[in-house]
Amino acid sequence: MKFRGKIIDPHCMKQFYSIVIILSKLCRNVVLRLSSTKLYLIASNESNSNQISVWSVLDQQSFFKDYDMIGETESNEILFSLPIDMLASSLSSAKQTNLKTLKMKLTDKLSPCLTIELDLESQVSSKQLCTHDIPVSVILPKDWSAYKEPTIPAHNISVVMPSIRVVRHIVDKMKRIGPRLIVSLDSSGKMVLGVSNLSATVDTHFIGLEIVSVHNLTDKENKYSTVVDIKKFSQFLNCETLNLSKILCHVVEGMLLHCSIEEDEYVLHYFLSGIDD
Amino acid sequence: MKCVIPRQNLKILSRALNTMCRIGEDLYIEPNSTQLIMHTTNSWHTVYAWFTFDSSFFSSYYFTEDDEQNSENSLKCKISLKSCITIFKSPHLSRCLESCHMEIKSNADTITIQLRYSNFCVKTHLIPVLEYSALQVNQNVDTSHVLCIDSKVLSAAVKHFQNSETDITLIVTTEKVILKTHSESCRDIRQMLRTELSLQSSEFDIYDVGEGCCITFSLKEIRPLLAFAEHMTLPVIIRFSSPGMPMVFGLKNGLTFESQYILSTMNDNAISGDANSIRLNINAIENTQSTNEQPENLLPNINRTQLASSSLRTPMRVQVEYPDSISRKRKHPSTSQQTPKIANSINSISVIEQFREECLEEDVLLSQVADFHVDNEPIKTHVNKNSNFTQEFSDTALVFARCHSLPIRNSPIKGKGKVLVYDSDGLIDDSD
Repeated sequence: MKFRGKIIDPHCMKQFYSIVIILSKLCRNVVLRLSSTKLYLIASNESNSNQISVWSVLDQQSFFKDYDMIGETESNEILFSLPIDMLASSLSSAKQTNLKTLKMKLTDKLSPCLTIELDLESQVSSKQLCTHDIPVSVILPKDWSAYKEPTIPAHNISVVMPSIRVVRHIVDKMKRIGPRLIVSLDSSGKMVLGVSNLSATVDTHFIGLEIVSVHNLTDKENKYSTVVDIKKFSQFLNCETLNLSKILCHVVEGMLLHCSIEEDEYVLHYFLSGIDD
Repeated sequence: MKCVIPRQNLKILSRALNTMCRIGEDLYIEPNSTQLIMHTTNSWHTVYAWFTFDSSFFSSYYFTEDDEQNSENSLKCKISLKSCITIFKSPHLSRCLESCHMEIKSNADTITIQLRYSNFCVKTHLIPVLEYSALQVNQNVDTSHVLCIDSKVLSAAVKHFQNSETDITLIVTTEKVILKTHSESCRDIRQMLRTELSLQSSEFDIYDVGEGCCITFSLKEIRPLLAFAEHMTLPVIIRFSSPGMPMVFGLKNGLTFESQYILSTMNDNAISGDANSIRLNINAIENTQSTNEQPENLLPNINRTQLASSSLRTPMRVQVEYPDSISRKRKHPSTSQQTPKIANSINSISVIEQFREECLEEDVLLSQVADFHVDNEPIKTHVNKNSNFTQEFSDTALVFARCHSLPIRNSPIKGKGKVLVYDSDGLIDDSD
């Protein structure tokens, strides 16, 4: 079992760091699944262990300059889990401009570790080397089935989210009113975010959104809604740092809010299961 | 003593006070004819922060002859650091503030700090003096290794470590310096993020390390100083000698002001549980204690126990040590408060030595208390053999470490200690 990867492009480092930062806000532990062409970051729901909450796929070639891996099984894959906050804090120096290369590799020091090596350029011509060892726990092949690509449930409706910055501001304000957010989308391209408590009900309407697909076109006044934890939703909205072109928002009536980001280099799905009324 | 601080320097003073605020709660001020010294130490006495402002730092500095006579005892004062920084924290500090006048009168209840604004507004603060006393510190730290580095480089290097990181190990070799997570702290090393950073010797302005060494110190305590140095763009001078001995972080801005942080370092050998090194540590404590013997006798209320040198070489020596050191640790705050009152008569008590002792003690304690197995017999034999020895022990010294949460009994000791609660492992009363 071997893995070694090297990023030298500052833009890729920043992007990788931003993805890790977003994940670190959504979950505590992340399973890193390495295959010869892709790098998957998977988080499963902590309360409901079998359900995957974050599924992100990074294209190896657009991030890494060098990428070598040898898995132990025929499928040539490696799976291990690690605390994502440690990864985020070790990559935090990627923000700095003087970082030349970022190397990641699997090592065996005291325990299995993901070693992050940062080559820094200092003012004086000499080089600084910073290594972070993140303890990981390797997942055995028999447990791999839990980290298979999730089947995306049939959506009732999918729309393009309005400006993430605006949504984030509004949701952050709404957070103070109540803990549950009602997200409803209808076939006329309207998205309503609603929150209520004993003394007030607040709804925010976004209109004229681009509809990607509607499950049932026959009925014109189709409206689908789901209730989610407002805190978890607002944490996801931190992803504005990624400078995304668009975010899709899908709803399965009463069951699931699914946000997806699909860029050329990476894909990120966030599944937020609905909570009961 | 009166002095006037111009506006530009007021920001420096305010930053210095904020830096010290992260260390201790009390600020000791000591004016003398040429400089104003401000210093503080934390409650564990593991860090000592010291700032000196030369008379050139002030736009005027009056130190009269009267002051000269009083300087020894009635001008050195202790004030609350928190109340002091609130004065300088005010948002008005920047705009129309012109100067700050400070006055310390001999034996007055308060010291006066007056802020004068350009719009003729004058704000006077009276800070109560908690005590007229001085902090006695032995600043002659043995420093055989010297490093000097740009504060920007060092603070950038330190930023790679997690904020929660408390202790880091500094390894110096002839070619490079390695900073890394202290690997033997109590937390499970396998579960935590380990960081290692290497700096080439060319990063340093001065690189005099001899054959190199490896010491562990508290990063948390040094971060404020680095932030201060970075703001002032001053190089940081690091001086140290060997593990377990204090190390010094210093910075100096020409002649106007100077700062030094003296911190205790950890002795890694002690943690590794090697019996030899533990013995050595205790010898070290023994030595420092014997120099302290005189002043301690002057403090009858302090239940600080003395070590019996006769039993030093017996194998059980080590065990007797633990409860003793625990009791001493607990009493430390009171010791430090008592010390200044008799400051004149104490020459040998130095906080630095206490630092070192404590540092050593803690190491030994942390590693040993857990797997301490009780064997009361040798203690008994000591007691029987040597009656002086028994008298020299406090109650707590004979009580096993696990009972250390018991109140200290100051009741008269009649030649033996009395155990309040028997240890569950079978420590018995030593009544002969």
